[in-house]
Amino acid sequence: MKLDQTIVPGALAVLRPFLGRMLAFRGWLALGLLLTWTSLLTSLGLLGLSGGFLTATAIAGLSPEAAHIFNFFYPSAGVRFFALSRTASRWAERVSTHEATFRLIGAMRVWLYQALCRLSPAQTGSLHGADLLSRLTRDIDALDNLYQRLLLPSIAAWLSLLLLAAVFAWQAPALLAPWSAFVAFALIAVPWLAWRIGGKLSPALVAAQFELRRELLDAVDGIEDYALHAPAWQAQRQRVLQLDAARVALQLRQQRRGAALRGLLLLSIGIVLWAVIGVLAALPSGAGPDGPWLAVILMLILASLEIVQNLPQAWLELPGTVASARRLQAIADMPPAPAYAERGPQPADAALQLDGLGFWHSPEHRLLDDVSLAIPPGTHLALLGPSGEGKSSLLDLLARLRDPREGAIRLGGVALPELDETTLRRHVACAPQEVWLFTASLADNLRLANPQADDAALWAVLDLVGLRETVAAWPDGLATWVDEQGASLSGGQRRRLGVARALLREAPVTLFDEATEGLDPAAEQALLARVRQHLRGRTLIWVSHRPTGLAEFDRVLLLEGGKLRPAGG
Amino acid sequence: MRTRRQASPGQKDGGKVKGQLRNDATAKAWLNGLAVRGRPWRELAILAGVLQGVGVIVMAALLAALIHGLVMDGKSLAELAAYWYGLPFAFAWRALAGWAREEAGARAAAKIRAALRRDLLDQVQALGPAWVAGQTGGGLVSTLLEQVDGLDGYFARYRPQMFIAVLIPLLILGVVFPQNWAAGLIFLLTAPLIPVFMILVGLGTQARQTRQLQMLTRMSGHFLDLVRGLGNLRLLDAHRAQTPRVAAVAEEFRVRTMSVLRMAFLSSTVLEFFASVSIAMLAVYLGFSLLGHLDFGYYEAPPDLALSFFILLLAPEFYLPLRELGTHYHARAEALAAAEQLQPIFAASSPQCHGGSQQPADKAPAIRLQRLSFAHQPGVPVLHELSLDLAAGASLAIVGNSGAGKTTLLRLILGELSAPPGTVCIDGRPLEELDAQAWREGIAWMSQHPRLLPATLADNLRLARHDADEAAMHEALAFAELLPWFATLPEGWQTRLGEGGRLLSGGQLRRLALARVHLRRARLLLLDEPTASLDSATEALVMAGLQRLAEGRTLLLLTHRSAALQLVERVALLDGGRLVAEGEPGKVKEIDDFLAGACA
Repeated sequence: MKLDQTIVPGALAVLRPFLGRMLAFRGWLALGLLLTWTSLLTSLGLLGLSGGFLTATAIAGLSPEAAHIFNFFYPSAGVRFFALSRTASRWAERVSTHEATFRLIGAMRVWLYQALCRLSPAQTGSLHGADLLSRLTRDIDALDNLYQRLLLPSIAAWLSLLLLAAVFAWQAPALLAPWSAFVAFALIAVPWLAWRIGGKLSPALVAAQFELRRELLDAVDGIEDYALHAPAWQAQRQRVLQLDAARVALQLRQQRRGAALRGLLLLSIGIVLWAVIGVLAALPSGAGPDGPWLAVILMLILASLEIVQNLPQAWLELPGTVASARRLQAIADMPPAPAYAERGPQPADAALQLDGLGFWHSPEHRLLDDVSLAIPPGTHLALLGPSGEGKSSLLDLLARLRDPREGAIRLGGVALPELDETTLRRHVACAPQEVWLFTASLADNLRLANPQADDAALWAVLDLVGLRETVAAWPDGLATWVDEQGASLSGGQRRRLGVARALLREAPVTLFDEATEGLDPAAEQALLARVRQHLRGRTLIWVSHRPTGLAEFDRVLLLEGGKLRPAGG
Repeated sequence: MRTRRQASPGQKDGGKVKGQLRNDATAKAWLNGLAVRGRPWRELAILAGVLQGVGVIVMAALLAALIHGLVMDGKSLAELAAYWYGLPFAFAWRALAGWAREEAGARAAAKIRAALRRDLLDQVQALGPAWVAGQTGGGLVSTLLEQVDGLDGYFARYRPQMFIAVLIPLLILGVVFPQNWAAGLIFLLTAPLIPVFMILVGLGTQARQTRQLQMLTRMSGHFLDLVRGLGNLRLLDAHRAQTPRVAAVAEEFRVRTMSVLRMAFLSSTVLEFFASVSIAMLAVYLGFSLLGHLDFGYYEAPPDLALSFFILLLAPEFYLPLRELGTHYHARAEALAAAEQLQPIFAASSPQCHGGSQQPADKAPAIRLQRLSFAHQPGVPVLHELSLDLAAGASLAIVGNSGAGKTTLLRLILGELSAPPGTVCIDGRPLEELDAQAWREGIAWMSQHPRLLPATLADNLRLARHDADEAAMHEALAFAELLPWFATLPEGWQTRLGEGGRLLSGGQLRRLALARVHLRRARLLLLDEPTASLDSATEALVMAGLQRLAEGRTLLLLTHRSAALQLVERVALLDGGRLVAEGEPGKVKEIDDFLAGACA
């Protein structure tokens, strides 16, 4: 009871914005609908006319005169017409509905990308867990099914069955009663049942899948531990197998109910055939349809099965689609934090002024506690401190990936929240701890930082980060394709490319967040020296937890217990 | 950014196609082997499909008799009551058989999937950590989860349908032919086309499916790639500039896929065409026979309305199973794709040391490496003629840059990689003669990235010793100085940790790892960078704990930093898979130089 009161209106509200977005393609959607309907009608026409034609010929065949004058031209031409037009409209239907679907996919992806684009890395970062991102992409695909598998066949079925109702009413109004009952059953009761079943089972299935994935991931990721201790492995294996069995049982239950609904539809066709024959036979002779029309009506009813038989599955899956829509809408509704100004003032110079900064994830552990600092343009500053003590958070504040809880940062006299994002990024570049390499050529990956950079500039920056020889040795050089997540590159190479991208920005302020972690100490020192040389006269903030090789810096600060203090003192 | 993927250099197109065909053949053979495990549900699904066909024939006969009786003979419904009441039962029969067919198919597939997932899990365990390390973690899990699920439609629907699509037309042919040979001939003439249809449908749909799937995967890949890297893009102010790319990739996907689809849909249209045309031919032939214009095709009497209608009703059913096969065809493509991912896992040979039957002695082991060479790929040696002696109860640190072969060495000693015979000896006995599992049970291993299970605290500790009781776990927590933390846990041992539970700081996680090491009944400690990226307080605590644990045990430490060296009596420097220097800490110049470089 709770289900239909809360979820049904809720579901409509959730789907409405997506349906609105679909309307942008109403031309294509309408064409798809028209062709779907046409192919259903030609199918009905072929079978109905064939049945009527046979019966008419059988009656005419009773007497040679009637057989002689029987006009077989139109019916047999009609049969051939329906046969050919059914073939053609099926093809056109498939082409047009796929065309419409692909257009929708494109628009939905752009929409989702724009929605995600507004969010800060801290916000999207929370989506990385549990593979939520790939679920979002699957959610988009689920919404495409809304049109092709649910709306389109449902509307076409309504149109077709109502048209048949008109035909039956014209032939014998008494047929309307059994036919209305069938339409109500096939197009209202069965979808509603399917929706209810799906509403109960699909959240359970999602949860079962989530648990199974988690335990499988654990079995695979923990294989080092499990290899050392056989009983622990046995226990984990047993957990996985149990969860798998439970999930399979749920899947079977869903499939069984879907199959039962399909069976019910078939049975209902049988019952309506039975009832229609009963109604027609009970009519006084001459009041009902003649012999050929009786055959047409029975054939049409029989052919209706094709129109409705795929609907239960689509309605069974609808609650899952609604859940998808809800997840997507939640992303779109998430307010960006921080939000950026549309157009802001230009900072006077690259001077950074930190005033009374406070930042924390939980108030009892303040990562930054009333931190104030002036960084004049051109300063080379090293920032040390134990891991987890807020160094990266401070960089996030400087790059305005987050806003401080207390205090403010000014760049060239302008508070960061007043700057528009383009201006801010032009002034502050950052080599992050986690370097992401996109599936594209190496050159494209670098040019993300500066689309105008020519090959010479790219080679120069590769030289700076110590990758020139490596890249030159690759057969494709700058055009080398970077695999998924840069898997073909070593951790050190990825870090260096992250540094290269930051340097290509040519910004007055450049931040490096543990940019050399994972490099050998000697290589680290060499890279640091070259970067410092290159950025001479510009502001450099170097975050590391290794206190070595920093003697040349203008200032070396230690961040501990939420406070900044000079290091090595 | 472009989204083109380059073929890896040196791969000729012809070779690729041939390789693809061979893969297809092995994948098919593998799937055939799996199908057997679906018994007896698979046979039941086919049987139910045939019963469904019987129901269709009965239904057609009843309906034809009813129409004939009502229209031609002018009988009342009471005289035709048997046919009239029989009609809903024929439908009920069909519905029931259809339900049974789906149920049996689904059960066959469920049985196969469950067995396969169990076998895969066992195979992954048999292949061991060294093999798993070569896979991407998330990728392997989705293989175990989604690729196995990807076989469902194939075993549940496609395979039974392959038989049904042959049996039902034969059944209909067997019924129609004795009644009217001309109508039978129209069916029969199209019957040899059935295999042709199958191939047509197959080729068209397969091409369509593979292309569409490839393109969709590529588009999703591009999208995921962008979104995962959004943080990086934002710092480069390139995130908004990528919006047109998202649109362009989707548009490219649409244009290219549609050009394939327009042709591919033609193949199923051909099937539609034959089905429609043969219905039309039958209607015309039967109609003209009824008029008396045609006078052939029958045995004794020309067809009457009952027979004509019966045949006409069966005409669409003759082609229906084939059309259904076409709609299930994507399941086949999906299964083949899944098989190509799954089958190599079973075909992979385990890199692990299989071990013998000797039980290791219950004391600290002595380890001797004798001219140990090892290569993952021929010609690229990772370890080169390495000889080392570690006496029982002694302690040794191996230092070296990343890539010097430390991890490989560790895996060889654990038996996760198999060394050449006789090159790794434990207490004077070759490792391959020892019972591999018993040997590993005596080892405590501490990684630089200890894992937190998303499970209870007790589960997390029992990862180290399955049967540890609360007293033992309490002792372990005390050892790792976690008791004050434990006191704050509301649910004690049953407190859930990790994802969806209580998160631990890096320092707490290390202490948990230390507690685990304490729980092991270990005779050998293997430590891999036990103090990397730790703050000084935690580092001191971990070091002190390890120092106590090392007493009476053999200890092997891998590091490239000097801090951990206070744990050991001797140090060896590994470079490029060779032992470069060895001696007491602080007494060998090469090692001091290396560590000075590392710490400068």
